Amino acid sequence: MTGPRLNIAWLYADLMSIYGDRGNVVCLVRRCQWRGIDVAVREIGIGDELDPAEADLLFIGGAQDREQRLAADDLLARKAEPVREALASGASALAVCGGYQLFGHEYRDAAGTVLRGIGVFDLVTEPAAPGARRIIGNVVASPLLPGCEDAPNLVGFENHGGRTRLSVGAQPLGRVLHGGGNNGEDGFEGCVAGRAVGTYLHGSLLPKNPWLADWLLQAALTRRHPGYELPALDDTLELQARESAERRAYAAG
Amino acid sequence: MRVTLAILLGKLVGWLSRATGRGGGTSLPGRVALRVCPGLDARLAASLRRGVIVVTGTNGKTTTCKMVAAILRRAGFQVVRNVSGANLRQGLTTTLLAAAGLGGRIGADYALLEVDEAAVAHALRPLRPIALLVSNLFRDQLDRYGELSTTAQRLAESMAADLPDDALLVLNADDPLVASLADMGSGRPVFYGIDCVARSLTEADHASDSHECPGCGTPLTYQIRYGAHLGLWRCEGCGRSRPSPDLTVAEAALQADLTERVRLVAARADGASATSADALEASLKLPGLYNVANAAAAAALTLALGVDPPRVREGLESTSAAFGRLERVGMPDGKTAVLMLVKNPAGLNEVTRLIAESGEPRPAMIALTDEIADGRDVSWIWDADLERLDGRVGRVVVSGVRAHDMALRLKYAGMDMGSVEIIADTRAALARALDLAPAGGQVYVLPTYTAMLDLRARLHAEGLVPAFWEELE
Repeated sequence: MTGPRLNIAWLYADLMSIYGDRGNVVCLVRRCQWRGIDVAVREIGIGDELDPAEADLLFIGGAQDREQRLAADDLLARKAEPVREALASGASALAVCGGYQLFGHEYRDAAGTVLRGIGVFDLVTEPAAPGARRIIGNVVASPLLPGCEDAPNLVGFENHGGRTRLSVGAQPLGRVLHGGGNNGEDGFEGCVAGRAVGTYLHGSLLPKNPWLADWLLQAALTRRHPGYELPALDDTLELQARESAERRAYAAG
Repeated sequence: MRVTLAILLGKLVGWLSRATGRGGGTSLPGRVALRVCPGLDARLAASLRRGVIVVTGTNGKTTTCKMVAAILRRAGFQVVRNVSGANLRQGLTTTLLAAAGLGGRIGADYALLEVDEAAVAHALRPLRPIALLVSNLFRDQLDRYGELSTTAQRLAESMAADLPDDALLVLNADDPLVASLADMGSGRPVFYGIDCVARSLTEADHASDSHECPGCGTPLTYQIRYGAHLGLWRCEGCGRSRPSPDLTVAEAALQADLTERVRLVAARADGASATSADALEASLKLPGLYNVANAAAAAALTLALGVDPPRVREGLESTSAAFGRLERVGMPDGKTAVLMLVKNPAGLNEVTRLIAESGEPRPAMIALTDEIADGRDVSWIWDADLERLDGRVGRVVVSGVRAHDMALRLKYAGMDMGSVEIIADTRAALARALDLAPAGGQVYVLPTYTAMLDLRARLHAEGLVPAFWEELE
């Protein structure tokens, strides 16, 4: 019997991959392989078609401003519809940092450039006030993802100039216990819309927060394999690394 | 009078900080002296018989400077150098005043200064160098410096404002961001590059930065890649391409004893094809293509300064590893620890590639720390291709305050976790890795910057390595 199948679509793997974004894809792939899931990663770049029926799990990482501008135009022009279609038909998604910003309605950078996003998340990102600094450092956040409120605290590292503001009623991913989060003011980090998760956390995010990796995988696999339940893995090392990162966040700032 | 007072005070502060054992006193003397005499650094630089050389870039600065210094000294010049890491204005001034007499003159030909790519303005503005060498621009400690393109932009602006028109500008042709610095119009560009297809990568490293043309933003195409974004690049959008090097590495062969045979060929000024008379062969004690590039950089710079090729060869061949960069430490049990500093994904990729190329699987110790000097963010280990180590390295001991992050990285790189151990203390971890090596064997030691300082300080206390500021003499 062949195992279940999962297709990961990695958007702009060449342009938008910074601060270990690749680690999230490595993590998803390994956690599938360890469970006998037949996993494939397709990198979808500028000009490439995204097939919404094929993509079960979408990933988009962060970028420097120049690369982000290049990707933003293509995302809006060619990928917005297929991304929405994939999500509507049960795909899951993880958008980190720059990708998170572009999955909102609008991103304005410090130079005054306005990038229109694809509106998966009900949020906008504005530049920091003049003189305000980039938000850089370790983050600890308690999960607010519906159904996962008791999961271990999320740990990661943030590095962003933009201040992201969720609309009233939008669901944050977590409540910040340490660090800046979306904007350094309202105490929230990330955003959740259905099966799409957006966040500022690098780290890489998923290896040290394996429950979130499995949430994304479970959601994505259910699309092609209703009723399938992910077998548990031995996450002892993952949880030790998570605890050590949380301790370090408080100790190092 | 003010100059003399500034130098005297600076020297006194330096002497005090060494005498009280509070480190090498690498920046406080300069700070004090500049407070007393604000233009002191410019004045001291102007007193050099030939002038200031600035070496910058993300990786390889220290090694390149060691090579340049060795070559210049063999050519009969007196050279003053700074300590690695002390590269802001105060640190550079500390170096200059330590070499100066109380009359405000430095009795040397050159001051050779390595400067972080984000701090170049500190050196260019007051010191007006006669030569600037830029080796490469990789992703490194972005949480401290901002983003890569910002760093390149700031470097270009600083050059445009403060690099003298007649200064030599030695650039790595294989790095698109670095090569494009020639477009700023300041300085006289001299390019070096690698042409060894045998050492190219079959696929791109995952840590590649700068995929787009720095001129027009079109994604670059590569005929050959040597690692990260380095290689034979071309932009289909605006037609820019890798400049033809003035000095080319035509051959580089890694030997079984971890030395590197290289052949460097200078382009003929008249455009005619090079002959054997234009070639320079050398055996480097420092292996790996990144060290070959460092040697090419040092050769390009010194040849352009008019040094005879035989002196260039002697200097290159006499250079051993800089502080912690492939430094061989003989241990009391007869085994050898090979220290290889890792501080960013490109550097870690170079080291893992060397380990993979060198054949025999040896034990390794990897220490990951996240102090300010390392960069707080350890995400970068996920951008390095540690998958390459699988099957090419023996048992691994991980250490440092972020040891668990590194262990997790190795787990997801596919390593058998039965062969990975976590030992928090770096010296204990090194002892364990040495235990795992056979009699007379070698272990690879891969620490981040502060882990290296810590480990080296302890090896120094055991009498096994010199303190790092003694090494420059």
